[in-house]
Amino acid sequence: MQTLFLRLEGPLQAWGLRARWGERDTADAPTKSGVIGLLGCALGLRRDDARLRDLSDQVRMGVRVDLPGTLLRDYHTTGGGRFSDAPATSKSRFHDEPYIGGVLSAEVNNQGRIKVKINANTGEPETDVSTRFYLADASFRVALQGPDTLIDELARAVQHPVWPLFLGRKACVPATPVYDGAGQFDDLEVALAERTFSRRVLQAWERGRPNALRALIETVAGQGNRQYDNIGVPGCRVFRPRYVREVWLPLDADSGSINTLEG
Amino acid sequence: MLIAIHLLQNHAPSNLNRDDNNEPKDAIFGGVRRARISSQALKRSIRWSEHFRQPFEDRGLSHLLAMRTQLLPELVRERLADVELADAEKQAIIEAAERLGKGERAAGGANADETGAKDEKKGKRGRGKTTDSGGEEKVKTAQLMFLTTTDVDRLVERLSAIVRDKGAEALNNLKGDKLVAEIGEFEPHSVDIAMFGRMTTSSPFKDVEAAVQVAHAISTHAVEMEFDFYTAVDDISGEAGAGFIGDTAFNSATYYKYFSIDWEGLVKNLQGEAGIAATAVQALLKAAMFAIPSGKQNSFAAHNPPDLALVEVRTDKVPLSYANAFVKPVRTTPNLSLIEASARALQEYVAAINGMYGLQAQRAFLSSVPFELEGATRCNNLGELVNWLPLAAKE
Repeated sequence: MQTLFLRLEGPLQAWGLRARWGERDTADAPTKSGVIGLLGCALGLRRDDARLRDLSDQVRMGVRVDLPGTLLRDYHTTGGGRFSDAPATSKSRFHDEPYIGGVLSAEVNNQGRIKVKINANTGEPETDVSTRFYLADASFRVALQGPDTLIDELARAVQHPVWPLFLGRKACVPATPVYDGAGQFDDLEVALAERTFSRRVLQAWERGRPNALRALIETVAGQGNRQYDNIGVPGCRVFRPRYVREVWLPLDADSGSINTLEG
Repeated sequence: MLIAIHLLQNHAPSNLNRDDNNEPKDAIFGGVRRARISSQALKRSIRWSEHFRQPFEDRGLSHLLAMRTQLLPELVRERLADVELADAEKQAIIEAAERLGKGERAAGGANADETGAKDEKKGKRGRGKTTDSGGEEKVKTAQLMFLTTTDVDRLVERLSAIVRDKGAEALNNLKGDKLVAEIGEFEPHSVDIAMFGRMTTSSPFKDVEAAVQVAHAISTHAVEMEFDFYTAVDDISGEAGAGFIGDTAFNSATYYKYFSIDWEGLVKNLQGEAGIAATAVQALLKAAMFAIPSGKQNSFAAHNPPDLALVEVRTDKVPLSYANAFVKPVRTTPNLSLIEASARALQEYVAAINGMYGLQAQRAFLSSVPFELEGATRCNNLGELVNWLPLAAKE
């Protein structure tokens, strides 16, 4: 089948699997919803475009974990801080200035000044906190299979994206071009068995090469592990289950060439 | 067209962006610990920077900088002063504006540039009308809205049109989605919303996909966390020794920073106004160079400008961080400072990676340290770099 390869590699990436509210997790490998979102970005489909669901149904995905990366926890705040016109001793934290910091409450006083939320315990301007997890320094090879014309369209789109691509979160910029070639392969496992790696991966392996690489191959319902990252209602965070089989692809000591595109 | 900005910036000891332990943020990259400044901290410092706001104020375009306000109906009332309509009609328009502010989703006052943690927050609802000191009623929306004056002008135009076509009574009867449908959604006309996005608002003020991508800045080298042990003496007590002791975590690092701007996305977000987009890009370049997160700056004052700025303009919107230039952590040598060694690593990597993938780009740079790049324009000062941006033709 026609197969499109993606190289997902950068200082940070984030593939939320269960993230809601203030806890923004990341899976240990790219999720299908995340990769479909990236393809949607390349095609110029908005977050709520119904085609994203179709795309998720038409494409099967396999991921090979070349560098698993490390989990990074990021403490993220919105608002907070002190401001020149808000003395720490003042109880009335109302401001004229629309560009003040702090988490602004939905209150305005009689003069139409905006109130800053004050923490009842500390008396300090309130800060909204969320915890965001990232995968630091990971590298993945993703294989996508589907109808030939669709895969060709996606291959073109990834090379000439409508919107800039990112690895799960907008702040996660790829450190290598995302397009990593295309070709004909019997199935996803065969496609991912091809020993094509990025320069970064080979560089990391100079210090020791793994014996086998973990790969996650999409499979039929009921087999493998179930995970909810198949787009259900685009833009509404409704996901359907899909099934993923974990395999280990053996890696000989001397095998492996650098990405064919890099030649 | 994608405009990418790559900076190398050496900060003296500082704690610009800290975590919940008050320690500078970090990340593992290339197997070693790096200093890190999160993208959100960088974005906030840019948006609040005079360098970002000044170009708009200079050109009389400060109305393009968004404001947070709850006083949409009041702003509408002010606009209506010059419009020829009956009082009842004006009142209907003001009340329609008030209804628009009572959407399900509340802005909550948060920076609207982040990925929607605030989306789910319910606003305080229906705070209604209060009386100000003059005894006149001020009509407020139930939540703060992220708006521009242009948003308000357009809203007034459309609501006035409804009143003229169908009468005040008809407008009074339009509620919820029907009101929004009648007005029609409209995109904000704001530079900062256009650049950094808006994910929390109420209809008909649309969500906007950010046109600017900001990476977390990471150090080009390994860092150790350091601690400043300090004491404070009580000036009055007369007792010997410290009245207070403590420690502050800090580090000093040379950062690689990456910003990119999707030109078409920005122009679209600005409703096709390429001239304003060009001003915005130039303002962003300056602000990216000079804005520094404010964390602990009263203690550390690490106000160090970048030593190297490389700007690239690509046709294909394939964003490419050059962070991998620093996978092998940069080291100082007797002859090279951290910044010089970082510039050398970047110079070699940019040449290698672009040659390897055959990526075409126009490039210009400004550097205080030795740096060479074939085909790139060397600029002598920031003004030249800003003017090099090939946007003038688009204005």
